[in-house]
Amino acid sequence: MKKNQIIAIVLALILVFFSFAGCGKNNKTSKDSSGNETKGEYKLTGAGGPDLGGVTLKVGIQPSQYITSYKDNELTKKLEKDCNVKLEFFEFPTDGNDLKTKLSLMASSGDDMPDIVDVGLDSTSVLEYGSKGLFIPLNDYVNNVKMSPNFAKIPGEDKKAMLTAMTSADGKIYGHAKYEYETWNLTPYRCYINRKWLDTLNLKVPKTTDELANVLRAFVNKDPNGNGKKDEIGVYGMASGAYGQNTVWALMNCFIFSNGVSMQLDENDSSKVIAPWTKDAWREGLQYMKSLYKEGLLSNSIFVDDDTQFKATLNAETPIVGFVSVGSNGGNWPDNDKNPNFLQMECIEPLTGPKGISWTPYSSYNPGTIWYITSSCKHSEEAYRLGEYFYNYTITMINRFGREGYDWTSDPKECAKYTNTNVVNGITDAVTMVYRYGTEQNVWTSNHNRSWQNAGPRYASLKMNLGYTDGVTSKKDKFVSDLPSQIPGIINTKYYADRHPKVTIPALHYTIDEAQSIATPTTDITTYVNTATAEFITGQRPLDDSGWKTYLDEMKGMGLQQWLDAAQAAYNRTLK
Amino acid sequence: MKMKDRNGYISADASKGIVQISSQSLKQRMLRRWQLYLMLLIPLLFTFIFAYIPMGGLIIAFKKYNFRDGIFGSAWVGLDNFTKFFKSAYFARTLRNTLTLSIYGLLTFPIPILFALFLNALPGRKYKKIIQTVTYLPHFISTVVIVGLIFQLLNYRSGIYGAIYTMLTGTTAPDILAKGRLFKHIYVWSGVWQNAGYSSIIYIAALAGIDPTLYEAATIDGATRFQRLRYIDIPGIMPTISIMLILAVGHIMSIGFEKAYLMQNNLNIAYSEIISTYVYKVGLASGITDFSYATAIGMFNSVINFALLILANTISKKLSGSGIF
Amino acid sequence: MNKLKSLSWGDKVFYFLITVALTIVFLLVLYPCIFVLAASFSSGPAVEAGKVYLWPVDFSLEGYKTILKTDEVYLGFRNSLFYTVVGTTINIIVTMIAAYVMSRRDLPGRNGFMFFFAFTMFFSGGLIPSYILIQRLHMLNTPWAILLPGALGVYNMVIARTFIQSNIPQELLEAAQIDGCSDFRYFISIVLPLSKSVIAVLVLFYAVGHWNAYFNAMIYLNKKELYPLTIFLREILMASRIDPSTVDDPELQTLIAKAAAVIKYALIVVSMIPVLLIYPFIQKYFVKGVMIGSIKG
Repeated sequence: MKKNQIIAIVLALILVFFSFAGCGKNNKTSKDSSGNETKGEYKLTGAGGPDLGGVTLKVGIQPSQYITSYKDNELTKKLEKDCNVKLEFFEFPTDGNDLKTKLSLMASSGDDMPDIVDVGLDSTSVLEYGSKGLFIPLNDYVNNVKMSPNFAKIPGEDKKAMLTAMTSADGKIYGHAKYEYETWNLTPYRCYINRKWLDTLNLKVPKTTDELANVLRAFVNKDPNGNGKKDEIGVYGMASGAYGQNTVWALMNCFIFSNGVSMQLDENDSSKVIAPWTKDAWREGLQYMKSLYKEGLLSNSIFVDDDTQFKATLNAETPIVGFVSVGSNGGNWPDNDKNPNFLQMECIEPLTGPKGISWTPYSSYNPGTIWYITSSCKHSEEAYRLGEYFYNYTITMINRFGREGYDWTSDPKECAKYTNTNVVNGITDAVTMVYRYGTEQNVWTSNHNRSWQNAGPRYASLKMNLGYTDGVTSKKDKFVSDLPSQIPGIINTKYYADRHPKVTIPALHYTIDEAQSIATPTTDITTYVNTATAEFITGQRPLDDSGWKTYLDEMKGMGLQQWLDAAQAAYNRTLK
Repeated sequence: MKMKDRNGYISADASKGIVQISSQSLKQRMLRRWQLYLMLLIPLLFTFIFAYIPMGGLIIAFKKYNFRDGIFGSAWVGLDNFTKFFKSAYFARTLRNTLTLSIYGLLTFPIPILFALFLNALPGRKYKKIIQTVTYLPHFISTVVIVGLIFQLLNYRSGIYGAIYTMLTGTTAPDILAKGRLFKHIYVWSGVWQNAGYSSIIYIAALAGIDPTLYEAATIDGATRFQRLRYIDIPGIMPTISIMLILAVGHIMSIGFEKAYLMQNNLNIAYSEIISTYVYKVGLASGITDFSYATAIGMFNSVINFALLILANTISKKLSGSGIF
Repeated sequence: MNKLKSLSWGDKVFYFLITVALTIVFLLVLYPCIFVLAASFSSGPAVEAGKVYLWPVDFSLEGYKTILKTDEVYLGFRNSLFYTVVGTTINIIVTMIAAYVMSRRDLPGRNGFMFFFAFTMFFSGGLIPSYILIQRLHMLNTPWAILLPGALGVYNMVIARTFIQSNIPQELLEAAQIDGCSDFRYFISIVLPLSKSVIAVLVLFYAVGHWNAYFNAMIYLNKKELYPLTIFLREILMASRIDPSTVDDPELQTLIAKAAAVIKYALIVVSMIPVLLIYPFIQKYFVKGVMIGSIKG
């Protein structure tokens, strides 16, 4: 009786499932850019925006907790007015992974998608959604100057970088670009040393790895913080940190150019992709740090601490950190200009290794993409042109900084009244934009409805970026040009920004097959190298010849060659 | 002659045999219980619609699912998703870690029971209520906060652990968060700390259902409170205990993802990488959500869970006569 | 209580030991609650820098003030309350019906049905077919997507069935049947009133489950007006951590994280208040002696 019941249930289940799941999955044919509007007539409105004929477009957004309303929003209203369009909003989950899950689910069920997905996605996802027809290709639109007036005005080099980023591995363009060139974020491993301790011990700022070792010995053994306890830490850091906090990677660059566990180009042959962590130079770097650890000059908390513990140590009542690398000083030392721990630290040049190598981890600027148009959009040309309008200077500034004339201004007469660190130090010639101009409120940490918090395409050149300044603190007459919090910016421009080989590996766009085939090897090898690095340095894993060989062999078994091959193929595509 | 009992008629014709009796009684038994079947329709319907209909989707574990081709159009790849998982360098390790943490956790199963028994025996009513209310709270504090707390407390320099150690021995404490071998202890016992109170609620409710006349009788016979605990409380909640144990065994592979993920660091990863965290990382690395892979892993976990449940259920039925089915 | 005088020496030792043990446990467990409370009254930087242990550091009401000004909090709270109350009610009805029917040993096919239910605890089709189903039923972006799919928690049903089987004696059923009581009436008039303890437990489990639920809301709902509080809480928790894979401007992200740290703990406290209130409320249903007098005579 039981058996029959089960069989009956299973049969019923199969029948029902076939009946419902089989019925009408929307056939997603790739909708091409052969539009549905009168071709060639791409009018502008009086305000200078594209005239979109009053259509309604639904924009999919990841809501920011600070924006009180997207519908009742100044930027929305301006866009609706400037472009003769009506906007509606669709809210995606805040977390990136949840969002991709949801997108995939909606695509699976033929659910109604918003017209536009105004969220940045990684290149593999874009390729997946684009090649499978969820996003439509925009190549024709991009190449049509009448449809892309703002994009056409972008200077050559920048536009080239944007096009490279926008083009997927299948040669199609699926979204607009988000280009905000800043050098600060490209070299986040800025080294800080405890200047006060150096002065107390009468030592010079170290310039080489050997000098650093001597300084660290003095730090740890001579009690420079004067409390009678041997609590000083030599080298500190946070291996799990997301922004420049893994000091190990910084020091490794005194031996070989690298950026953690990511592929690089051979320094002698820039057509070849290599894995730096397999090279002998890397091993030398490990040996150096291992010797530091053995003498007690490098803390194993680097491999254990989380963000809260890291900050707690950096800001301890009695300063205990001698040497560390971080990306953000304001983020890790709260209230940095008045923070006693931060005031003891000095940002120094990258060190030089025994063989004269002196690099810093660097990844070339890789603009992201955003504003994809889905196959359910019935007004793809209008949707494209609306996104393209975001390259317009005023719009892109509003989206990033808020209301013109209140949150920010670019009026040259006003800008002339201000200055900034870059101008004072001759890195750029003038202030291009003042934010926190008419108000002290920071749009990034307060509730408002004056922008979309930078959710949209953007074009901001390096020159523009260098010319930003904070209105509250930068009036010419009261500008303090050497605030402790600003000095690292100068140091970065002088010593870090160019401290990398001339040719470095660009962002790689993998095809779907490549991405899926290397998913397991990249996960396994990344975990393995991170773990092995920690173990080598702390002596838990032998760094002798047989230990090193074991390390290399195990990675071979994890598919290292597969990863190298895929990376080489992707790199070769960028050379064409 | 036909005799009627509660379950229907009994045929007196011996030549037709017992079979005749049972089948007649069965149909009649079913008919007599028609109200029960009618009532059962509601939960049956819910389960069928929301649990069984989607179950057909399990098939994507054997396919290379992509949203354009859908569940039925996607290419068949047989056991590829499974072998991808089994062949990975870390498969054995993640399986071992998952089981270690689970089984270790299972060994702490008696703790909420003991807690409930003691609490039940506590004389002061107000105090009992306060303890009950407070101990079930940490269960609701999110994992992120609890893990941050663990790091803070166990920090060998600035945490309470470090401070007490230095106070007692005068030297710096060893960094227990850096020692992978200690991971399982920290993981499991922090789980007890967080959840024992909440897990004990079911036993507290079960204890409340014990017939108080049993206690009266025992007290009259001169039993101490402890003896009452041993001979009345424990047997009284034994059915609850065995069911909870069976259910726990059936969830061995379902260890949570978030806590292990947050507690991982470079030095303990050999012990803290479990199946769910590993699958998550591979999923991230491939960029797109690989539903097929995730479904295959889920199926793998489910099969093991289910097999263990059947085993536990069978053992329970042999030992105590009752089980889930 | 004159009971104290009549306690034996053995009993006194026993009571003393368990009181000590429970008190230690109580204090250990109380700590995280105190921490969260202290952190919610501390300033953002102090919390971020790990300076908070037992009492607030840099006392600040900033977190609470910000929350009280945020619409999402009120909206989320109201929605969570709705889902919890209505959802739990549906849950209890469906679960108790199933538990009662499954507890009847005289029901032919009982084990088969039990297998039917239990199987679903282990095998589920996963996200995609579930999503497609909800979509075909036109339940997407409606409260039903939250209230209906998990209506029968088999785990809880097993617990309830165990309770009914061990606490409501077979003799009671037989006596009622002799008196002509129908199966349905037996359920309503006898089983339910005697199951107050287990219903209380189910209410707790289901209510807590609804209150903490996040995932279904995330995938099935698109409107802010329908979001439970957990979605907003998760937004804040995510904002206070930097996710390297999705961020183009880490410096900016750091700023945002700092601001999020301020309200994180205050929000956790606020979202825990209903949970704190519900337990004493259901505690009184853990009633002893429900069975007195039911079988005598």
